[in-house]
Amino acid sequence: MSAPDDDFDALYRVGAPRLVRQLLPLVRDRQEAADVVQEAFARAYARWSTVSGYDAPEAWVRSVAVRLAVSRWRRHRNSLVAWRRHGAPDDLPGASPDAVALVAALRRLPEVQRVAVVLHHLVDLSVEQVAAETGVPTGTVKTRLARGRAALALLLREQSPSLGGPGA
Amino acid sequence: MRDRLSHLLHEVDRVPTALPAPADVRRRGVRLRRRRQAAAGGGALAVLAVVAVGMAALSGGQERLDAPPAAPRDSTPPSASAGASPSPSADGAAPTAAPGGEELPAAAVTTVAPGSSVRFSSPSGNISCFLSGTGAVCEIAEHDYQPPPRPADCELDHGTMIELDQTGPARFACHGDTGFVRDDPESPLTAPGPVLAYGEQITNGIFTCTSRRSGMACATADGGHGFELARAGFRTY
Repeated sequence: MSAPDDDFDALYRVGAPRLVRQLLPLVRDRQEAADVVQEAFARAYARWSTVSGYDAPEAWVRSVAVRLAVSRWRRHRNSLVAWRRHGAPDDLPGASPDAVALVAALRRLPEVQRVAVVLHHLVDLSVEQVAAETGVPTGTVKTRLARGRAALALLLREQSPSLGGPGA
Repeated sequence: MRDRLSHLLHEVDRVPTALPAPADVRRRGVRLRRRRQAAAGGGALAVLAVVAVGMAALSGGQERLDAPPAAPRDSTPPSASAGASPSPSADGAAPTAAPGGEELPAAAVTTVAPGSSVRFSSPSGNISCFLSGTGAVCEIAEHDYQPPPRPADCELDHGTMIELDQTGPARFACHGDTGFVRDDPESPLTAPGPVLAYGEQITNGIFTCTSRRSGMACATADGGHGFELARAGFRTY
C-alpha cells in the first residue's frame, strides 16, 4: 500500500465515524448515513491526487457527504412522511432517550433549517461557511438558524420535556 | 445549544456503526475514477460526432459561448455515443429531452410556485441547475474554459459552479463534489433533474434561467446581475 493510500485510510478511519454521526439528522438512519459517507470518501479517493493536496481534505469530504445526504433526503421525502406517521425507527440503540429525541426532532425540521442547524451547530461551520455551502446569503442562514432553533425547542419540549428548556 | 447538541450527539458515538474497510472504499473510488476518465473520453468523441448539429446552431446568429452540446457523457459508453447523439428535427429544433431525464412542461416559460425550488438540466446533460426564490446555481460537468483563480480561502472545488442571488453579481462558488451533476451514472445518490429544452425559460421570483444551445443563462429580472455558463466559456455580471 502506498503512502497516499495510508493517508486516505487514516483520514477515513478517523473521519468517517465522525461524519456518520454528524449526518444522522440529515438522513433516515445510521445505515444511510454510512452509505453516504462511504460514497463521499470513494469520490474523494477517485480524485485523491487533488483532494489530498488541500489543507483540509476532510472538509471536502464533508461537503460532498452533506450534499449527498440532502439529495437523498429530498428523494425520500415521500417515504419520510409515512415514516413520521409511524414514528422514528429505533436506530440508535444504546443512545440515551434525550439523544434519540434530539435526532428525531432535528429530522422533523424543515429541510433548509435542518441543514443550517446541522452544519452550524454540529459540523461547526461558521455562518459564512454555511452560506457558501448552501448558496444563500448569510442573512438567510441566520434566519434559518433562528427559526430552526425555535422549532427545535418546541419539538423537544413535545418529545422530552427535560430538553425543551431555554438551553435547548 | 451547540454544547448540548454535541454532548447528545456524542452519545450516539457509542452506538457501533458498521463501515466498510478502507480498502473497499478505495476500490469503489478507483471504479469511479475509471468511469470518469472513460466518460471524459466519450464526451470528446461525442463533441466530434455532433459538429454538424452545432454548425446549424452557430449559423443562427446567436452569440457563441458553447461548443456544440455533447451527448450526456454518462449515459452511453464512448463507442455508442455517436449513434446516440441527439439529432435535430427537420426544422432544426433542438431535442427536448436527454436520456434518463424527465422533461419539463413544454411551455416556453415555466414559473416555479412561490416558496418552491426546482432542479433542472441542460439538454446535453452537461449543466445542472438549482433555482429557488433566493437564487440560481448552475454547475457544469465538463468544460474547456480556463477557470478563474481559486480564492485563497477556498479549500474545495472552484471554477465549475456559478451562483447568483440578490446580493450582487454572480460568482463562482467554492464547493465540494456535489453529485449535482451526473458524474456517476451508477450511483443511487445522484439523479438527473428534468430537462429544460433549448429556448425555454424557467422563472422563480426575480430569477430566470434560459436554456440555449450556446449555454445556460440565468439573470435577475432587471438584468442587472446574472451569468452564462457553457462548455467553452462563462460570463458573470
